[in-house]
Amino acid sequence: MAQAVTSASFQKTVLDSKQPVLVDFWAVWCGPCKVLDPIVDELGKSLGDKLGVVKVNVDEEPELSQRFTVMSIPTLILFKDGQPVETVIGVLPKPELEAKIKPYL
Amino acid sequence: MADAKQTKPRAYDLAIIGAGPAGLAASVYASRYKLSNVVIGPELGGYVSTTHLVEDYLGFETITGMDLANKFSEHAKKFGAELVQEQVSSTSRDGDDWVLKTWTDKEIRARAALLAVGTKHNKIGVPGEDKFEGRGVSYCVTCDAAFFKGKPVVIVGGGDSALKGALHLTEFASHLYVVHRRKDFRAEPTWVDRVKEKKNVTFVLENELVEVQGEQKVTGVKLKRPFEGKDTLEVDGVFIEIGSTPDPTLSKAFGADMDDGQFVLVGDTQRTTAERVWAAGDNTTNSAMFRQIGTASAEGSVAAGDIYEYLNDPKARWSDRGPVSETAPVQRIVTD
Repeated sequence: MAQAVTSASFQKTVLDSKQPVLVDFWAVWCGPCKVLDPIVDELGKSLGDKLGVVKVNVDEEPELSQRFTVMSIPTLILFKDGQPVETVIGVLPKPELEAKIKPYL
Repeated sequence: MADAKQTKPRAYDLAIIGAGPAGLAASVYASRYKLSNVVIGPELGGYVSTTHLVEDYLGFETITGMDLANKFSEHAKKFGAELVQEQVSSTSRDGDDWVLKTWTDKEIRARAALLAVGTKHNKIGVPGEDKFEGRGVSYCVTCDAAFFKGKPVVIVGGGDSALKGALHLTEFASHLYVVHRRKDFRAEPTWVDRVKEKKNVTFVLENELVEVQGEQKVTGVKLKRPFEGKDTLEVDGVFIEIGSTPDPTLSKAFGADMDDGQFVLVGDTQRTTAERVWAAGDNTTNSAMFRQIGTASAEGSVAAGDIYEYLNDPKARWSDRGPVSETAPVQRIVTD
């Protein structure tokens, strides 16, 4: 299970991270988020040494969703060197997600 | 190669593709018939899990889609289903077995397959729709309504999904426009009445969206005909609920014939034109294509009964209860 981040821990965990971090914006009421959940967990396992994977609960962290213009969930944003470099909205199979992330690792 | 054959996974009696009401009902019946079964589907509960409220499924006066979806999957699990939360990406035959590969390359073998994959949301196909998906355009009201708290939004459609979605959106949006191309709705009149009771709703009927407008995100929509003197509505969100159609990918992969609308042709017991492949739920031509939770679970149940008889009767021939591939067009009960 990926680590949960809050607006208080976002800077340190995501923006200051030396390795790229994939942020999964989700909510408990969102069915498709549950579809994406095991895929993101698998990515965390297979790319774990090169990629950080964290989750943001949009219900508890509306500030973070607004800051990164998240208006639909699930949304995945990949951060590298403190900048968002790739955004994926909706559910994609693991191989397609991997293909989007790998160029940044 | 001999080694690979020795290590091939055991075959289930039945692989159910799709974890909505059709697939999970089939699993419950299959388990009671002592058929080993696996349900493969990314979304437990299928469409039901993204439905705001369900009030027309017997036994549940009112329940959220998410809660009902959880009850369905818990029921199937309790009775013996194995659930694999993935999508099937390819199919092949090895002797009498279907061999299915999933997103993460899991291999699943089964003597029979049930295609219960449901349908996918339709898009309108207007400029701006794709560009602003996730930037104000949404196909999932329950997922995204909360992002539009205190903001004006529009929902497009006139079926059950659109009207239930509208009802949910009125709890968040400052104002909701319901744009529908006809004067009358195909939704259950109960849902229409409930939306009409809300103070923050305007119906824009006999009209259509022709463009989604914005810069970084949605700022408005353009209408085909002027409404109250203007041909645009200033909104932050655009929710699209204009019905759904099946994804033909797996039907084709199994070799199951479909009608012109890509619905799988099935016989009375849900057999398709492909041997050892049944289909049930919203993606089939049965039940007058009413596409309700009740009809989906009924089709799944019928299929499981027939699968049990077929697998246990060495003399059974597929054509005995096979579908007629040249059927008269189905007289649909249209709900979207």
